Amino acid sequence: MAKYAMVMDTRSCIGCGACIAACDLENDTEWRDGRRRTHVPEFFFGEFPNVTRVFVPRLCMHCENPPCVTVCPTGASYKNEDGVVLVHHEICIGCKYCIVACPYLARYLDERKGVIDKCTFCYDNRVLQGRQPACVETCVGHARIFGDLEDPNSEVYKLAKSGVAVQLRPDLLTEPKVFYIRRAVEE
Amino acid sequence: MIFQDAWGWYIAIYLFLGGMGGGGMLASYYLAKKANDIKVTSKAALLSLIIVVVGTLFLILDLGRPERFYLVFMSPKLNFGSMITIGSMILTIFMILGALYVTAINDWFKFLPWYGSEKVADITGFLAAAFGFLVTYYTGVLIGIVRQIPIWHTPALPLLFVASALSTGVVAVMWTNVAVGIRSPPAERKYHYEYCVMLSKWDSALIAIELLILFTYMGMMIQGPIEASLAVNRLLFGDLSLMFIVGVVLMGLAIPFLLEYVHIMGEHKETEKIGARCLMPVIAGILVVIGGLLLRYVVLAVGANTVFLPP
Repeated sequence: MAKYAMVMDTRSCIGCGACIAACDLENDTEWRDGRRRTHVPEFFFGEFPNVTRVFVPRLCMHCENPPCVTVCPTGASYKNEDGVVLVHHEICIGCKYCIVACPYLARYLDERKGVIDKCTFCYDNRVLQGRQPACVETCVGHARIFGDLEDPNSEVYKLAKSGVAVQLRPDLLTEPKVFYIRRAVEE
Repeated sequence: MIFQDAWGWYIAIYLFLGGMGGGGMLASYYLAKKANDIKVTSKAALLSLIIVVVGTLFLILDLGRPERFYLVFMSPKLNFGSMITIGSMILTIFMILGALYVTAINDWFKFLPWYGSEKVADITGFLAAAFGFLVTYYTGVLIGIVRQIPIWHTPALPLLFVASALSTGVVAVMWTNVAVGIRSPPAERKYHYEYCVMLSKWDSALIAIELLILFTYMGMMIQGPIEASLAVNRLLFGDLSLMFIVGVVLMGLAIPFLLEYVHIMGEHKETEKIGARCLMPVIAGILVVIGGLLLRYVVLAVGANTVFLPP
């Protein structure tokens, strides 16, 4: 029993997209625009000459209260014993209710298989073998930190519990398990 | 700000047809009881049932794996809390009850043993009408419970869909009534003409209620959360404004209301020429139906996802 979580250090993400490529290769995802398991959208703040550009890597937040699981009719979407939200491809009918219900845009329809695909934290293919998810292993800036939220010695535990790293849209009460270190704002 | 694109025209057509058929079943049962009619309502109930079946086909075709649709009843891990599971059950029960009701009253099904049984018609008719209402209501609740899309997550949405569904359902009954009326001997046409006036009254009342709900909904939402406010902005001034203002509000609601009002208030003479005399409400009905479909589409299209910025 674990509670896997990730911390994004937006200060050290350079927007290279290596995580996207590593994920697509590792998980054989459908390579279509906007239809992949992880994204690195960029945001701009301020006005010239004081402009800040921030990359906010995004993937499934593996919520403690996942709305996608609540709406799934067939029970294909589920949260496993390690807190990872997964999809049983065998019983997914592709109704897309979960895509609509997910606040974090984490899901897409894999048109090759007609079923929903999403980030798995590389649970079956890496985490169970004691390795890090592909996006974490490949990240050049150590911007993605993976670990167990129930292990007090882990880096994610320290960052999340100290309030250094925060959740996106905590007001939705989904309890996401991906945390973000606040961006450095040029004052 | 991202507008959802997972659900498009197929789901819009399904929400619309499900509403029209469910509303049509309720309206035809009500007409059957109120006017003690079977000639029109037996055909109207059949039409309503067919509309719901066609709508359900669109729902199934929208699936990524249409051949797996049976899993919404038979999945080993079935989630009874999902609105799609609940809705599929409502739809199935509606279809069974509707089929029993239609075959009990429609003389095309004389060969069936329960044809003509008033007991069967009474019980199944009432239940089919009740489930028809549930179908119309559920189409709004299906998307209304998605709390991360504020423009949908409001009690006004199911009410709006119910009003629109009942109004389009009355139109289905009205069309059937005129089609049956044209084929009747001239002496009987007076009744069909009277039905036409009565159905126009119901429909115009429903349109007035729908306009009130729509106005309140948009007026409240434009002051609502940022996602909802931008969604209303897109409806009123963005790329969907033509479809919404002209298609839904003017063509789908305001003009049919006026046409039906003129018909109700007009001179009711030469009622044996039912085709010509009922032309105005029939055309109003076509506009109502197009407006109802466009309403479902624009509501789905402006489903704006929650905004999230880096912390």
